[in-house]
Amino acid sequence: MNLLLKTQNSKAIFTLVASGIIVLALFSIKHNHLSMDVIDILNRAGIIAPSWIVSAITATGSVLAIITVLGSLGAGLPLAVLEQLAAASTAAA
Amino acid sequence: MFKKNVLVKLYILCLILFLIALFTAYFYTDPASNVNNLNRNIRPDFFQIFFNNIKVASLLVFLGPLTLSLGTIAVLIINGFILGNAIGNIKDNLNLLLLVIPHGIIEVPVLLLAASVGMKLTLDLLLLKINLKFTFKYIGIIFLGLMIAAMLETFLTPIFIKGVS
Repeated sequence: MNLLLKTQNSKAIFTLVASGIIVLALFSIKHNHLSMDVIDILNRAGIIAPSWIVSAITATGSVLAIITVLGSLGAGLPLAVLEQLAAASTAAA
Repeated sequence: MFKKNVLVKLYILCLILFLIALFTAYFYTDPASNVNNLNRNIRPDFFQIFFNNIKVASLLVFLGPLTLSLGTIAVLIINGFILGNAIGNIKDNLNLLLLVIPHGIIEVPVLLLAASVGMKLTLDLLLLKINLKFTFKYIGIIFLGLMIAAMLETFLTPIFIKGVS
């Protein structure tokens, strides 16, 4: 039981740390935009004219995503998971 | 079996969110007036497309565990709006969908898969039932799918631009 818990603890910490590193690395890339290149060719062909709704939502969405990431790196989910791990360890002991 | 069921449910949830965003943008977008002035000399760059898509797919997967999936949902909805806007722009000339469908038919399901894997990772983390092998398997599928989509977008889709009017 203890061994299983220990394995899951290390996996949880690994997942959180790896996710944090990857996301920070991705956000540090220059010319970062959050959309996939599905409509890349339409863009290059000069067809796309962004509507007000897309401009508004993408701007809000990008800001929200960045704020959420930075906020959660400080506390948020990592802290919740660590608390859960501590409680599970205490219960196992 | 249980894990796959959860992933399928999350995939359907992602699909619904994506379609809501897509149709909202579609209905609120006016057709673009410059559809007839196409730039037909397009040379897509495989590595640029592939790495941008990998970056977005990675954000979809790894923002999940860090943000209780809120970041994943935000990126998914943004992509739905952008695709909906593009289709809205060409709603009076749907032939131009030929410039989206050949690679989009792989790229969009992979985008939804990445979002559902991100949500599944969050769920696993909260339940302390992490299966890294399962996650890495799906990350491999996403990587492969995006590579095929980028190849199609680079080598196949530009052929269609000569045919659309």
